[in-house]
Amino acid sequence: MPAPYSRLNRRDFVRLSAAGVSAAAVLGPGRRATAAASPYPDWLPASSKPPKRGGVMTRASAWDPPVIDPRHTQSVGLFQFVGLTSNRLVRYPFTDEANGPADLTLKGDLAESWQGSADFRVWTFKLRQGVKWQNLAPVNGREFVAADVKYCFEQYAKEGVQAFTFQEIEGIETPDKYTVRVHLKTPNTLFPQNVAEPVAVLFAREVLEEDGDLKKRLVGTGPYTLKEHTRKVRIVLQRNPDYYDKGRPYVDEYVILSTPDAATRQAAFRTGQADFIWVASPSEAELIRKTNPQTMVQAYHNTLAPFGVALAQDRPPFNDLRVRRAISMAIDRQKMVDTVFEGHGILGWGVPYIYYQDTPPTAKDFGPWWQYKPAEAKKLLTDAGHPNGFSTTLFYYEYFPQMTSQVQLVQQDLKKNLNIDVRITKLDYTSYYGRYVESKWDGMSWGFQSGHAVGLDERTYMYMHSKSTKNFFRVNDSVIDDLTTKLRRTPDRAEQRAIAKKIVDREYDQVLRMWMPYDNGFLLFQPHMRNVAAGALRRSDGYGSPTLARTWMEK
Amino acid sequence: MATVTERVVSIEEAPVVISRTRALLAALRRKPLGAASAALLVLIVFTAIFAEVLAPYDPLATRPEIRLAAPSWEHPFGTDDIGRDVLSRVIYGARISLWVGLLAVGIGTAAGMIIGLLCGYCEGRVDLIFQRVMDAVQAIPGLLLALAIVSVLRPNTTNAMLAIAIVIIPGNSRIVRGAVMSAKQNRYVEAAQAIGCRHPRIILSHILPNVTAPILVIASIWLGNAILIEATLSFLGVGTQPPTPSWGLMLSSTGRAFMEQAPWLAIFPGLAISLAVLGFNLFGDTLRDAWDPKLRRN
Repeated sequence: MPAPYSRLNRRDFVRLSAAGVSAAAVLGPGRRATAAASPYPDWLPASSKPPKRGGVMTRASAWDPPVIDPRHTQSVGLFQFVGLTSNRLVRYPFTDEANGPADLTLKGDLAESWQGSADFRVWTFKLRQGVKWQNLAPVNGREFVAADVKYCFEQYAKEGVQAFTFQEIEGIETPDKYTVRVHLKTPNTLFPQNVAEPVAVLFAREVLEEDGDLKKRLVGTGPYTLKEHTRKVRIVLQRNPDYYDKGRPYVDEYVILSTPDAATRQAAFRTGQADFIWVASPSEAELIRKTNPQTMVQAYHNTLAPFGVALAQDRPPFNDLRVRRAISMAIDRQKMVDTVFEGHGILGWGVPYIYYQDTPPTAKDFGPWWQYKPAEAKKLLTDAGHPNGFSTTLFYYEYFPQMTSQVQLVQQDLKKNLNIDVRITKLDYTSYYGRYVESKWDGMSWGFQSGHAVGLDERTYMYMHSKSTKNFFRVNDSVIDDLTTKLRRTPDRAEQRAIAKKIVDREYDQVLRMWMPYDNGFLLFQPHMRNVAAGALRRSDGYGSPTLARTWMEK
Repeated sequence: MATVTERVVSIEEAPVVISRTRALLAALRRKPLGAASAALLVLIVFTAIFAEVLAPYDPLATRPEIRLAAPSWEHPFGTDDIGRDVLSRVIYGARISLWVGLLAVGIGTAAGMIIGLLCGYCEGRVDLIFQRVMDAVQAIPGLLLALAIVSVLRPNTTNAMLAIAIVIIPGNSRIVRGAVMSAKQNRYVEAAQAIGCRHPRIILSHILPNVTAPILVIASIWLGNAILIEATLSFLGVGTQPPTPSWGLMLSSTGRAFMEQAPWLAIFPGLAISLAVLGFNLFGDTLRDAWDPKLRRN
């Protein structure tokens, strides 16, 4: 960095000229676009007033469903609304039932009750009676029965991206119209959580049988019917008058406008054309509050980070634990939180902390290899036989702009502290997803675990067991395999917590997945919105959309 | 008496051919916009060459603690999302833009010229085959073609450059082909053939010098377009990769994302692209005016 300037030299001259240009180009006084940590509440309690029926709720959305067949995608583009057209057997609490954002007590959705066998290999679900499919062809409002569940689960297991979850089912019995008995291949105390995930929605068998896929029609039992889906334009949901939960939903129509540009989404919210919006940073929330002071803001708090640096740890140099630890210690995560996320972010961890401790982890909880200690990192790398660093690659897809900032900061830290040259390649979503999920890449990737799931089994066994098809970070650790298998056989909550803690401690110690800071963000609602708050890892504009069945508008 | 007057008039109307340099200088004197564009291009080239000296900071050095700082005396163009000096990145961005522009246009023009010379001189089957291939390439919109090429290869600056060059080739080959066909009709070419000159010599010594003017004019205009295509490819995420300072990448990655919080991130790279493209286009116009054979006779 150059020293302060005492006389006019060439660079001063350039600066002076440039300053003149900037003065003309940027009007208004200079300002720093940074802000302190959030002053907003992290939970908006449900309204105590009697709900009001009617109205059209609109949202400008960044996402568009790549396909409307729930077997073939876990994309938030689809699950931002499919949880409203379709139900699951069980679900997580809605805003007006939950006692806070981290309330993950399972509730009955299409099942009224559920019970595991003593060895947790058989799960019996008693279905709600009198539930009807939406009054749309080809189902035309027939009754929802146990055979529908059996059919759906079998189809999910047969093909598509949800297959791994459903392939653990050995067989399904339907002793009567309202009872489903699921036999698992191995014991799993956490199975109900897996079928409470948004991706386990139940679809009408007639549509699949007639069309051969679910790409054109989406018929469910949910509070809304899919009235219109025009790709990259809009999705229109219409109130289902035959919904089993009488009197609900309250809002007549929910319109989702495909709006990839962030500035346009914010403009839509400002002008009242959108009823709620998510923004990443405190300064963005502040800017909107300046023009729309009545806006209600929920400071969102993630229980995990979905993104991290994934290393090809099955091959050199990343199969050397010292190299992984050195890289981890050379990255300044706290600086990322303080700057890129303006103080409103988490340091990054992969398993929701609510399953193993009461408060969000601090830097100390991650152990020695996650602390920013460049000198020790350099020593470790030297011990590993790379005193002069090495060259590698990193590919990523920009899910949000701050991600590009993070990728570049990691690159800088590794260069500066370890002399590791990282060549960055930014890919389009399809190329990135295909390459990452195939797991045939070398070097590094900005890896992810899908955002749809909050269940403990999903976040441990499914993403970390060496044999799992979702083991994108290529974890191959016998201790982790044993612990994650043991976890699904343990019904006791206290024991589950202890095992989950051992899993994360092992993960940190071996640097198996190198989580990166993640933004918490803010949900902004128009002042007339009621019962719309987001729960843990379940934003109401995303995978947590089912809660909108209880939303109403006071206007 | 009448005869003398007629002779005087015919002498006054006789064409006066001036050199290209003189013609260009005359055009620059005549057209203030042309002179301004030339000055702008000199400035951009100067900036690109002396980026290390002119840039007040390392364009890659991050200082997250001063991220998104507004323009100030210390950082006249402000700082970006990870605290890099925007002025330094714009200065270094000139280097990428010019490098991509010059190389892509150089490759595209050279290839187009070779194909055009061959097609125009040989005509017949060679012309037919090459020009149908050019038709096929030209049938695809330039940006779409460039996007497809970069997507098939890998997104980086070199491939973006190659893609732009391929987009340029067909148009250039057409122009050169036409000029060669016209030049071929001249008596000096016939004379060269009559005295037994070989084809390469005729092409290189007698035809090529007479078709360079349109090539240079088109190349100068393509330079602006090439910068714009590189910026577009980078804007779409398939061109230059972060953290390399490229105007298009700056505009797309941070300019768009922080438009409201930090408008300077979009204003300055945008301004740089606009000025460079405007400069090359205006200069191309001036070159055309100066070197157009009809205008040069004045």
